Amino acid sequence: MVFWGKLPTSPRASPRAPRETGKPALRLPAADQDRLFYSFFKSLVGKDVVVELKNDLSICGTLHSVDQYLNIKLTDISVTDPEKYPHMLSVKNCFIRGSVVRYVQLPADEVDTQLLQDAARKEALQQKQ
Amino acid sequence: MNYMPGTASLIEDIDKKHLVLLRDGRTLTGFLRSIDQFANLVLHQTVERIHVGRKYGDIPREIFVVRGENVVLLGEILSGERERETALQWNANVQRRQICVFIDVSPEQ
Repeated sequence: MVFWGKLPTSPRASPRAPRETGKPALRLPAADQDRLFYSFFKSLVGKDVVVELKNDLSICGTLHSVDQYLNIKLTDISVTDPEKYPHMLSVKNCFIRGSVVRYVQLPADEVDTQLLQDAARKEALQQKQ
Repeated sequence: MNYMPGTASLIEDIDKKHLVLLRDGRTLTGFLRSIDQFANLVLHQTVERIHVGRKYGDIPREIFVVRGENVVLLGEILSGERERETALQWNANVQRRQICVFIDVSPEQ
């Protein structure tokens, strides 16, 4: 008999179980296994961010929501750069298409970079398998 | 009512007046009537607004179907709130399907 692929090893490693390092595992719901940054942005809802777009427009606002395409909704927005964009004066909330985002600037104290690095490594490992 | 709580969705923005920024730099305003997962939009009573310095002119465009890849952002224009415009509005009897003509009225140097 020939087995194709990897034989199942037991016991099955659970993503929620603590790893050998002893640090607590990142709680990543099964549905978001390949959506690390979606989950990351969801954890930042309510925080103030600056979104820099590919057309060089920078918008400051409070993160209201994000979706699987990393489209962003901001509330209480203001254009951070000098007002060379006069048409945005009367707009308070906006929806930004994910494909036009260049950067999302976050305050350093809102992000646990160690946790993010660990999660990224874990996801890269899972995607390889 | 949010159909998918926690996710960014344009569902709640339907039938509201929006400002749409396009990738080619154009600014459209209109009522959002239809959306899909690519952010393709159907805008009603659309007006294309062209800014020249501190002045602007409006071109009425009726109904627009915008392909999602050209959309930069949508901003809700709250009705009843006076637009804080510093530009001087210059209306030049814009007729249907005609383009505004801009006259430079800056003082001669």
